[in-house]
Amino acid sequence: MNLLKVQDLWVKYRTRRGVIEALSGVNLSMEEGEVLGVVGESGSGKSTLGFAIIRLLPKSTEVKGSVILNGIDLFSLPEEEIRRMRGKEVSMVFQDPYSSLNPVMKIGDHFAELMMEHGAASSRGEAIEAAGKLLERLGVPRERLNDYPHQLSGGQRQRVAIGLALILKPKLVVADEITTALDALVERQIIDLVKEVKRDYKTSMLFITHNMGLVAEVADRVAVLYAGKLAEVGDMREVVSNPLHPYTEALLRSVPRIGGSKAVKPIPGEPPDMRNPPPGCRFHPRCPLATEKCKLEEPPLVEKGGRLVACHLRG
Amino acid sequence: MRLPSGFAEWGLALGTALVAAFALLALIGESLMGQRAVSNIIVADGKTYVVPPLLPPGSKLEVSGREYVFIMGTDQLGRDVFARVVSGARFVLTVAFLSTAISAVLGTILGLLSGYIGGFLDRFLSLVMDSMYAFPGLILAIAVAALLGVGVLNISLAIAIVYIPSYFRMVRGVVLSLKSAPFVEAAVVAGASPWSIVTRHVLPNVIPQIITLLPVSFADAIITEAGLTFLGLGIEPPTPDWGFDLNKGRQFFLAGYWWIGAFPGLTIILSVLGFLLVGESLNELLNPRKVES
Repeated sequence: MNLLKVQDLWVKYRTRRGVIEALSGVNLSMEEGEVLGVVGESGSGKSTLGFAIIRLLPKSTEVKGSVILNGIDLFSLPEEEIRRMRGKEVSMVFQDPYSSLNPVMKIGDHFAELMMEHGAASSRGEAIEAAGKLLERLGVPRERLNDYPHQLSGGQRQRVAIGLALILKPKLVVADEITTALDALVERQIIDLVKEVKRDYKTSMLFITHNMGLVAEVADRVAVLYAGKLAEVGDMREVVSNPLHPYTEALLRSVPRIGGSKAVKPIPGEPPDMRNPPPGCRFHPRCPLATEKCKLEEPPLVEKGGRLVACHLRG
Repeated sequence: MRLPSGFAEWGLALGTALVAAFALLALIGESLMGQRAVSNIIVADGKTYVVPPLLPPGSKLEVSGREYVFIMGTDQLGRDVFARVVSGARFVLTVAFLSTAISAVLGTILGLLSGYIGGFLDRFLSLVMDSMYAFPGLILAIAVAALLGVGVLNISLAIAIVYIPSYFRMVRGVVLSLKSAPFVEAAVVAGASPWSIVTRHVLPNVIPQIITLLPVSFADAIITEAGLTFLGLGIEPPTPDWGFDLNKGRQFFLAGYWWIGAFPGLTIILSVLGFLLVGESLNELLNPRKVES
């Protein structure tokens, strides 16, 4: 059985300046213990996907489709049940560790509150004990539990945030751009930590990023999102070594490599205005290979050699 | 111990001294002065003496071998002005304390609800609070005080109502910006209940702002209390009270008996100054931006 199944998910934000279609019919599935990388530029809908999975979109948002976690349809659950699942079944790590911890609460209290709220610890002492053990495995000294967030470095804070996401042993962790706010050195450490967590805890993870290079390091499979639609889904190694969709190819070329022979090539143009997405293939205005057909007809997501790709030319 | 340096530290020192002095008066002033604040009769050796009215400050009176000094004189009924000023502290400060506490608690609760729940409740409460805010404070207090009648609790309520909107608006504003703060979102994602989000994540981050508002609204409450009792609202004679005495003294001022009103008036100024100094200098000292520079 699939751990996570996203079926025909549509998300529309209603804003004052019009309706923005953030996700248009996304289908995804994840196996237990798998790390699925979700890649795309700003505005591609990758964070919306993360928030939709924990059902935390604004009330005015229009959502269609279903998200099934461990056999439970999340969209049909009452709010109270969803609240109990958050943290325990699905947890999330955020982009900015500088603001995702409460400045007036000690690190230990973050853990104690979370664990006692979900009945995972009966006392503060019990929670602190468990948190200390986990933090040490994540490379944060136990004494840090008595500190306030501002006393920690950015990297330590992100380790704490990862600890908070893992402590209740959730089935799925959504990691939303968790290294974007960190400098390159700390980013490396956190990526290494994610790899360790993947190996030791066998946690399934939805790893959201705009950096194809990071995905190549941590993910088992990759889903490439462009303008709210899946462009390509497949095994990470295959996608990286032989990208099918021109957008995936372009993303891979835009990752800088030290000592690499090929120059970094940015993708020309900008992501489309989602109030009014282009007809046909959404990538056609920026695609070097676009034909007449691409401008008129929307390519379906079809299987090709164990992978899914939405392109008229490569499908 | 080092001497205070800079305006803020001196202000805090002076303010604290004034506040402490008035707090002490409020606690023991009345028992120290006994009946002298409310009666013009001195009882000595089983005999009673009537103190003459309108004695100027510094007057001395010999009663059966004991000397009584009236350093602030006596009023139109022969009561000791100094005794009334000292005893008056309790009523004023009790009212100011109660009204500040009531308005801070109610304003904070309403602000939290309004900001966190939002929607219709927020619009309704904001409209009510803004209308109250737009209304002149003293006039609103007069209306409520006239409605409720005399007594410590009633006059405190009348003043509290005037200051609820200040707390409401401040708390609501902070809550609105905290609501979208990543750490609050993180708590929601971690499955925290609405109650724990409000009490553990939002409220503790609002409290520093509330604290800086407290002394200032306390000082304001003293002025409003004096204003109400000046007009004879909320207090029953012969309870000693600065505002009430100021008004009585005003009637005798032009006749040359300046001391009846001048001393209560001066006391109002000093007490308000004390609390304002504490509030302003705390604000200055606790503001991290000013500490760094």
